[in-house]
Amino acid sequence: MQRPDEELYRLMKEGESSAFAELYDRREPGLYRYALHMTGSVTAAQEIAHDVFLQLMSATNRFDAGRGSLEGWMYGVARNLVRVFRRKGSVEAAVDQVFHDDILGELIDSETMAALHTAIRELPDHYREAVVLCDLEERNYDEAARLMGCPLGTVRSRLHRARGLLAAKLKRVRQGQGIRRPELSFTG
Amino acid sequence: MKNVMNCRVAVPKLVECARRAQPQEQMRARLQPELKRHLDVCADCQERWDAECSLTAGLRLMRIQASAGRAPLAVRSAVMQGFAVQEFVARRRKSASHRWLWSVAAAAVLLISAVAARDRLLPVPSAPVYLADDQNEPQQEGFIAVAYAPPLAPGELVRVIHMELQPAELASLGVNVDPSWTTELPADVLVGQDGFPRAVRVSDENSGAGDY
Repeated sequence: MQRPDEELYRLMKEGESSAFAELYDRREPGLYRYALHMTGSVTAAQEIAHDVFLQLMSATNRFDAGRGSLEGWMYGVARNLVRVFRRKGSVEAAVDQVFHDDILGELIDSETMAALHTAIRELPDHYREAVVLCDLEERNYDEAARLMGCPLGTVRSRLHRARGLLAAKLKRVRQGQGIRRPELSFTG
Repeated sequence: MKNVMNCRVAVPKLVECARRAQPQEQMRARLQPELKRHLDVCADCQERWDAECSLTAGLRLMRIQASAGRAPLAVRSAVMQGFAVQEFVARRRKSASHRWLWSVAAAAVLLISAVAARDRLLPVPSAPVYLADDQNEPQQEGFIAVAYAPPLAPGELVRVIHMELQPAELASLGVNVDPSWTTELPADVLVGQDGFPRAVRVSDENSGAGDY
C-alpha cells in the first residue's frame, strides 16, 4: 500500500533519504508537466520542479499539515515559481519543439497544434491552470480545487470559460487557414 | 417537438460531454435526447460542440505527448545529493550540540558530587565553589585568565567545569597550544554566573600543560 505524502515528509524530516526519493519520484513528474504547460519552457519546468523540492528540503519551509495536503503545498510553491518566471517575461517557444518529431503530431495539423499551445500560454493564469490540471493532467474537479486552493464550482467555471476562449482562438486559426474543420482522429 | 433546452443550459453540458474524449460520433449518440434536439436546431451550439470536440482532441494529443515528460536524471541526482549533504550537516550539528549538553551535564554532576564530598569531609560547609576574589590571581592552581573576559563582580560565584576542548578552542581561550596536540584535551574552565569563561587550565598531565 502506498504511504501518504505526509508520512513520507515526516520520515524525510527525520533524515530518511529513501522517503525523500519516494516522494520525489511520486510528485516530480506531475510538477514538471504542470510547470511545462504553465510556462511553455522545458528549462523553466526543470528549474521549477527542482526548486519545489529544494524548498521542501529547507528547514524553514512553511508546510503545515493542519492547513492542507503536502501535494497542495507543492503545487502552491510551483504556482508561485511559475508566476515569478512569467513576470520575467521569458516565455519560450520550447514546447512546440519538444513535440515536433512526434508521429502523433501528424494526426492534427501542426499549425493547429502550435496554435493550441500558443492559445494555452496566452490564457490568464487561473484559466490556464484549470485547463492544465483538469484536461492535461486529468485531475477531477475535487483534486483540482484542492491544488488550486479554490472551490469546486470556481474550477468548473474557470475551465468552461477557458475552453470557450481556446475554442474561439482555434476557430480563428482554422478560418485563417481556410479550413472548415481540422481533420481529427480519435483513437478512443 | 418543442425545444425546451436553451443555450445557457446546453453549453455546460456540451463542454462536459466533449471533455470525455470519446469519438465524436459515438459521443453525439450518447448525448441526452434533449441536448441532441437542441443541437439540431441551434447552429451556435452545434458549432460550439464541434469546437469543443476538436479542442478535446488537441488537448488529448498534448497530454499523450507530455505524459512521459519529466526532468532529466541529472536533476534528480542533484536534488538527492543536496538532501544527503543537508542531512549530514544537520546530523553533525545535532551530535555537536548533544556532546556539549552531555559535557555540561557531566560537569554539573561532577561538581555536585565534589561539593557533596567536600561537605562530608570538611567540618565547615562553604557554598561557593570558587570566589570572585580569587580571580585577581587566576594563575593559582594552574589557571590562566581568559583574555578580554569581563571582570567578575565582587562576591560573584564561579564554578569550575570539566570539559574536553579542541586545541583550537584552548588557543582561543588564551592557552599556549603545543603543535603536537591534535586531539581533544581535558580542561577545567572557570565560569562566572553569567556563563562566560574567566580562566582555564589543561588538566591532562601528558599534554604538557605545565609548560605555560
